[in-house]
Amino acid sequence: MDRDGDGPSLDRRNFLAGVGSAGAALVAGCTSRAKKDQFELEGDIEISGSSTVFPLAEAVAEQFMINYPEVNISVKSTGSGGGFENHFCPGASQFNNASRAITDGERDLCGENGVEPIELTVATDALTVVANNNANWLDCLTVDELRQVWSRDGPETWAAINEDWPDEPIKRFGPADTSGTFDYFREAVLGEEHDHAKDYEPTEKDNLIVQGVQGSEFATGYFGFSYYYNNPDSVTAVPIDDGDGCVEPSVKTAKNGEYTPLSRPLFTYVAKDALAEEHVAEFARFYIEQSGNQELVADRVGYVPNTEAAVQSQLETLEAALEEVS
Amino acid sequence: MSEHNPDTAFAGVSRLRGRIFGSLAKAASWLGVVVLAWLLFMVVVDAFGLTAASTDWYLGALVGFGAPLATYSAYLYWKRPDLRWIAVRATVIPPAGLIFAGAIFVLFLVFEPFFWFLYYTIAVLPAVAVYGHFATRDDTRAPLAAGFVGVVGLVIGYFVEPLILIMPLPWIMLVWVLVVPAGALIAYRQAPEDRQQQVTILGTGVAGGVLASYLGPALIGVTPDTAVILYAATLLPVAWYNGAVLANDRSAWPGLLGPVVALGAIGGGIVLGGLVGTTGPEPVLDWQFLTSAPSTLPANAGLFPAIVGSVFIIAIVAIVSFVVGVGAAIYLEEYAPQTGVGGTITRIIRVNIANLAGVPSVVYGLLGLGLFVNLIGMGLGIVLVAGLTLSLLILPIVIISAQEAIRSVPEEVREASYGMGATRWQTIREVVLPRAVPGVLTGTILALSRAIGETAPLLMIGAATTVFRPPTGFASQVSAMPLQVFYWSFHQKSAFRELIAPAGVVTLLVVMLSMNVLAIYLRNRYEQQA
Amino acid sequence: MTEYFEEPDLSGNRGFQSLREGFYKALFFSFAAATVLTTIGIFLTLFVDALGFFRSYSLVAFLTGLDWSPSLEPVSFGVLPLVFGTLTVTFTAAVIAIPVGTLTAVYLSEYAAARTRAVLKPLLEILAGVPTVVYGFFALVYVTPVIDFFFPGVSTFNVLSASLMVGIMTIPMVSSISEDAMSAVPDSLRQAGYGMGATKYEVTTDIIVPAATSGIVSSYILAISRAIGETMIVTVAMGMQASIPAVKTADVFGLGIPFVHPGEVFLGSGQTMTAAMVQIANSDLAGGTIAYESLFAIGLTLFAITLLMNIVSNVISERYREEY
Repeated sequence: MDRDGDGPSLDRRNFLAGVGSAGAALVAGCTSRAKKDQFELEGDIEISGSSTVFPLAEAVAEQFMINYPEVNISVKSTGSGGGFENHFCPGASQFNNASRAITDGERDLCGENGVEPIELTVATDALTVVANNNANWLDCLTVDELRQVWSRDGPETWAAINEDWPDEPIKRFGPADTSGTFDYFREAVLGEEHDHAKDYEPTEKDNLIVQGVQGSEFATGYFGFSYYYNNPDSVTAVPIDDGDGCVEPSVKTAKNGEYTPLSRPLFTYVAKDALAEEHVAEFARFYIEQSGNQELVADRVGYVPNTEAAVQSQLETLEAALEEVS
Repeated sequence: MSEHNPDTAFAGVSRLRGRIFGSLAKAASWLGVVVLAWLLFMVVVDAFGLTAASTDWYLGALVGFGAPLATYSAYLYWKRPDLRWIAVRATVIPPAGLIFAGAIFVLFLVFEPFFWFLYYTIAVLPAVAVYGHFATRDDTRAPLAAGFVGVVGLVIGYFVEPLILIMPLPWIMLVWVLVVPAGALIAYRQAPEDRQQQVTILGTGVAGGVLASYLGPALIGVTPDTAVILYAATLLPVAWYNGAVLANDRSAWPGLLGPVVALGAIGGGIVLGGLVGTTGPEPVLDWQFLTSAPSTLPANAGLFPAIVGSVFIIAIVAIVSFVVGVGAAIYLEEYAPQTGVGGTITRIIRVNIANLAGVPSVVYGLLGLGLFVNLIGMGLGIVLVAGLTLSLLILPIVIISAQEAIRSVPEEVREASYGMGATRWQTIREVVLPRAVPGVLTGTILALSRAIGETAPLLMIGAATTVFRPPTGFASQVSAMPLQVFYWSFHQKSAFRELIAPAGVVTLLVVMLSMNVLAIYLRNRYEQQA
Repeated sequence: MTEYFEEPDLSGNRGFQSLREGFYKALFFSFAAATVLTTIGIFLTLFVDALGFFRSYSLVAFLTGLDWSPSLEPVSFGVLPLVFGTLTVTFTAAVIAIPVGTLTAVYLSEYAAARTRAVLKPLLEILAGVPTVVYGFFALVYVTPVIDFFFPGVSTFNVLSASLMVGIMTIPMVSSISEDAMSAVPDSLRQAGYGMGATKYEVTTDIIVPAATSGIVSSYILAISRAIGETMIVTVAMGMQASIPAVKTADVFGLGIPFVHPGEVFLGSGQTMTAAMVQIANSDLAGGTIAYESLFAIGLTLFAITLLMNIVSNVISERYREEY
């Protein structure tokens, strides 16, 4: 009780002094709550679509956000069709990557929701057929031989295709039938009249195809160029003969159109109305500019970059669309 | 026991059989643990690049690390066994404080410090003051009044916020928001009666915070804000514990050397290993990994947005599953009728909860997709959908464990409460819940540690493959640690699969194990008390 | 403690209080009822889309078809290859988890010292708590190379590594519930056994285990149901090839004995129902197509199987529980 008697007065003095000095410190230590630089772009961008184009979009987005820290981009690997259907056409994403051109059905679906897709070519992919490093005998495949290897109920052994090859069963490794790469290969190589082999090891993860092919001298597989580009020593790319001699897949042969029929363009579709927003427009521009960037597209991701002329023509397409929305 | 009747012809046989059976059971019990230990060893080796280090590095590091630790342990063991636990606690507090500082840092990174400052000052603080005012007078209206004041503060803050053009420097706001309440808490706990000493403790604590904001940048090169956070979360608890130990027993000071010795051992290991060894380890899991965004280049890859994403998701799951789970458990244990039509409904609910606990998580993912995305129309893969979906997933586990905890409260205390004229809700709030809380918390934390590792439901609700920035709100696109691990383990580049993925796995496991340890610690404490 | 207590309320005027009591009761009831809504929600979500699937694909063909290829022309949605994959994993996991888990429970309940239990039980909890995606990663990266050492030529994605991990993961599920059941057997039974001169082994096998059978069996069923629903381990480590291995005929003493080569089953890749669901959900397949809706048909099948197993487990532990 005794302490209580004189305690509070002392406390109060201390307290007032404390409040006073804290107040002074606060006044001295104030700063303006001004907003960030008004000229900087900010906003969210969502990208959906093909798992094939995904690594490219990821790399471009990463690069873009270094320049514009206030823009937030998220990239989803949903598959080309799933992206159109579930994300892009309902308006949930502004960009949809595709490893094939948009279908009429998808265009109609987008149209119903008032989304107008603008097609932009962002790179070229070269499907690569690979064999085991020890399989020296497999030095070239004609398109017809490739078709036989991958046809349903086709020959079971290599010797059944070509007498010079070993009489060993073919071990096949390829993308799962749900992937865009599978669709593209089926279209480009097998055509309408042949079914794709069922007797193969399907996977959506291309590195597993590499591992599978590494496991056997009599194995073969196919996948997107980037996987070969990133693991060039683990397996050997088989040159393809489309009637004009054997052509090995490379950035050069795909770019100048020699590597047929396995090279294909990769697209991104941007919703035209979304371009009215400046950060979306700027990202679209950046995406196209980077599509000609050798370091980013080829070295980092492993696709074939656009030529100078292609970049220019894509930019013109984009600027025309921009003109209309602004 | 069979020794008592050695004349049984089969005694020898059955003893042997019994011994074999016993050893078999023992071996089986450790099988899973040993396998897990092996796997953890492998993944830690990969995450920290330990294979890159040479043998002489290990020798050097072992000596540098082991010598101080062994000396100190031997001293404690032979000379001062009474200080064992003080040493352990003193050693655990600083790293725990650092982790806590990291959590606060993430929060302030995501939400502007100014908002904390504003709402703390005009909503939280008045609410606490009002609560204290009523509670000291034993007035049951305390929560109601505090809630009212808090809500009024929030509303005012919402309208006032755009009008404010200047604000205090961030570190001053942090001192106000973090150091002052922490200091007040310590002062209150250390000297509940002594006003004079309370003021001294609070004043010293705040002065230390101000000092830290100046010394931090000068000494270790952090920003003043970070220095204040580190001070509040790490230095202050350490000072508190050490002060309390010394105030209790001055001769206990050798126990407080624990963290110094641990730091010296780690430093000694690194220094000596570096001096002696030809090559050191090449850790992937380092500060850079924890604070960077995912990248297409392995050297730049990080887990930061996924860590923050997991924190956001778990925050929602914790709140929703705790409130709904405990509420449902209270209903089932305290209110639910046991007979008649009501009894049938109760039985249906009980059986249904048991069944829900067994539904595969991937099916919950489809529920989240169908309910939250397609029916209600929330966005694909946003924080809120992820959090709500995982809440539904762990709700049955939370309910069941909360039911057990509530059931373990003896019936007598309830009857005593009713006997005093308390209503059912008063009894639950004042008598049942306080006793059941440790058990409820243990169950909830264990359930949350399951939620933090769930992947399949997130894949189903359309979570993004790559998110470069941490979420900024509940409608942001989100990634989570297990998702990122999943994508990395399939990455096209081998560096991601072989180096980055293990680093992600180890981070995820550290978080999950910490939660488990916390839950086990809580339970043991509780069991000892009970 | 509060004003109400200090002054006994004799007026009987508890209007505000009874309102509050009613409010809390209703609130908590709504929380409990929400769990029932969850079940209904799951069922409706799965059922509506599955119905769309079964409108264009016959239920019989789905349940008895031997070919699963959702997008490979001609499409075929026979669920049996996926069921086979699930059963293989579940069976292998059960072969590991049931004996090991039961022995663990016996050890913990009858043999282990209190200190050992205090260490072992939390460790087993951690074993159950490791995220399944991490187990999948372990299976793919660390277990498969070990298998490859013993069986060269094992495929990178294989059934065995995934099944082993599912088995390890489910051990604690068997052991914890079984141990609870064994610990619940009253000590008087043990004492009676020892009093008759029985050894610890005899007491365990002849008294404790029979008395705890209902709990032990329901733990088996729960563990199996967990293995059936396990998703990430099999998605990461098992591959995506849904197939049923060919039945070969061995000529033993002139008799044709049909058999399935175990190497084909375990060392190759396979696909479970859950893994197929993840694959479809993250594939190029577009929403609204029959292939996409097959996802919900599998989900419904899975939900039905696990629900059935849980109910059976509940019934067993309710009906055959020995009350002491």
